[in-house]
Amino acid sequence: MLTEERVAAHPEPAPRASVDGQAPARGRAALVFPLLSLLLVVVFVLGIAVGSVPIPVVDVVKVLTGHEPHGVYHAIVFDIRLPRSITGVLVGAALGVAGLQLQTLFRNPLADPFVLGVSAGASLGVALVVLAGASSEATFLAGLGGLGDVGIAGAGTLGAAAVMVAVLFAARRVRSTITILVVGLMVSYLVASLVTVLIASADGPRIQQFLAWEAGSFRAITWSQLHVLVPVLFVGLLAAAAGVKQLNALLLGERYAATMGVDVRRTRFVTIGTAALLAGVATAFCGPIGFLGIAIPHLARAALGSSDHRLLVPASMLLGGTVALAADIIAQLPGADFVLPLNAVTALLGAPIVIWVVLSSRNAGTLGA
Amino acid sequence: MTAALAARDLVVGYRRGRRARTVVLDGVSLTLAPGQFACLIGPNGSGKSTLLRTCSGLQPPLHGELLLAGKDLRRLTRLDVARRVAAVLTDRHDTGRLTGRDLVGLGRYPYTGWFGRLEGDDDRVVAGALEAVAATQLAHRVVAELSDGERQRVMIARALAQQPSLLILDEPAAFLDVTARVELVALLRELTREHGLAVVLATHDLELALRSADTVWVLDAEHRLATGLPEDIAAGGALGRAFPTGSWAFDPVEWRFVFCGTVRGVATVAGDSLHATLARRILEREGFVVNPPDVGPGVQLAIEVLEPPHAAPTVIARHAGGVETHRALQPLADLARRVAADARPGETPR
Repeated sequence: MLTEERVAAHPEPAPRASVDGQAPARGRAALVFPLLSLLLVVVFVLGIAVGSVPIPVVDVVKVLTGHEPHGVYHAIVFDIRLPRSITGVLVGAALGVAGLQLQTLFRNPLADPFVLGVSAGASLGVALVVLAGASSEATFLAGLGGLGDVGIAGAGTLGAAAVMVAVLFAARRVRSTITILVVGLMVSYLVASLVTVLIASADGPRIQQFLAWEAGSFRAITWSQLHVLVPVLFVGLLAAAAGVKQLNALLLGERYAATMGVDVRRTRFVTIGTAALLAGVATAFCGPIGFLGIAIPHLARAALGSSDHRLLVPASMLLGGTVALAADIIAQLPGADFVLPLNAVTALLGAPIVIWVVLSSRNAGTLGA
Repeated sequence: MTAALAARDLVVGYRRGRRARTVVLDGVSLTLAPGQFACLIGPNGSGKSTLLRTCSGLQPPLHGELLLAGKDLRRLTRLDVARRVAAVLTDRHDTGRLTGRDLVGLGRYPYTGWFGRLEGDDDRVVAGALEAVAATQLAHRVVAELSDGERQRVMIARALAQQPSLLILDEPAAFLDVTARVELVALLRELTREHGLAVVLATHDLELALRSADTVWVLDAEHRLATGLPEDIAAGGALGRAFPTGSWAFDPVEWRFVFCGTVRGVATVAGDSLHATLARRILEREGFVVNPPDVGPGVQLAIEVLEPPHAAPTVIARHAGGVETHRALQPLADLARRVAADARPGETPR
């Protein structure tokens, strides 16, 4: 392949490539990943320490490592703070990864899990239970509502699943990926308007309950809910990690991906299914938490200086978990006796960060960047 | 030798729904041997892209047989097809922070494992592909920041990384300037000669196609396909059918379009030096018949070009108004336009 002339024409030796042929990005990754992991651990411990009853970090570590099985803090840590933090990590990771998948699939830097309409579906499910359950005590939905938080999460999951099935059905039928984006957005609007109608016809306390869910929170999650949430999100995250090769090929566009042997329709189906599962379940349990889905992928790209999904998917998980927990800590406003809506904090915290990232690095705002 | 591409009675088109189909091309028969360079030309809408999509395995044939390196397309998996055919398209997407090497590495898709990790031979193949297109120095540059020509070379290297026996390019020159276009064709020829690759290039550049291809495939607006040696295609009527124009016709000798609209007059140009040839082109553009076989008395312009060594050429023009001598071509163009405007169209014999 190599002719003598060419060697002469390019005497400068090519930089030695690593095993993967990605020397610069790999070198940076070796620095970034330990850093992100450390950050996550720090925020995780802090998240357990902060709350209405502050716990010294030393005691948090003692309790977590099992050195103080009967201490005063044991119950607080294990019954309240730990489920909350585990939820935050998983939900943040889920929303970050789902956003990354959809930004690449739709080739749109503004795509996030909400564009599929699954979050709106979850809202409708919850609204039906919380708001419409008011009209008749005898209905099945009211019964679900009576189950409390488990019923809310269950209804949200059902609503999200219904929309997901509809969007996947569209994904199988239509030729163009952009069409799916439009369908998802329209379903979102449609469902959101139904929710508005339900709100208009509900009474005060129920509206309060619904708005509380819609503000987003990790604190309503109990261990019994985690038994469902953890395995489902874990499976979703694994499925996302398994699709990195296809996502990388999609960076060149669907036509190029097809010429390289990618089954574009199947990839589309699986990617949308995974993202919908992650976002739908996360929303059903914790409310529609905005911003993470859009912002985390951009932060991951900026941190790694790479568009390689083999790096971006794990980085989005770590960053998503970290940012979600950080937002939850801030939402508790140490010292204050009320809790801010998580949704407000993620946006307040995140929007400026994203603007800064986009403005400070040349390609960060664009798609693959 | 097994042909890289062989089609027999191929019907290409689209399926619409369960039964309905739109046939674009019918009865296509083609072969392309390894090491051959084919150019596909034809007007927009003649079915070039549909044919190429079918040959790339992106769109199943409606009927007929399509063999890729001797194997029936229908018996090949997607990945098998990708190991035989690679494509370079006009599509331009934001590739983010992918470097040249990252992008070429994506071409290993049909060979790599679950996570697309490059290992073993993959690095050697990627480096070889970059070398083959003389783009080794682009390996660590960010693709989004490359020039159009450089980007195109990297995209070709990505196709080579698939180690195909057939390379298909659908109007890859669309964004390129003239120099990059000529270099692209030179590179493709080199790939056929040095690496035994079969290459199909769809292009709108008729002259470049005819001058560089081993075989030319011409599609016309009626979806008829003619294939053959460029010289045979030029001599036959295929180009005229494919590119019918009112006032310009393809000249099978000059391999360019020449004016054949309303004749404004008859002119003669003496000499065959460079400037004599250029003077002739100017006159043809203005609607003159230059040096017809039987020059009658109706000559409106008689040009003589003196091209002495080490001196500017001298253009001597005789016309009804007298004799003019110029040291440049621009005054000749002005004069030709004036004479053509004075002549009453249609009266001069062709």
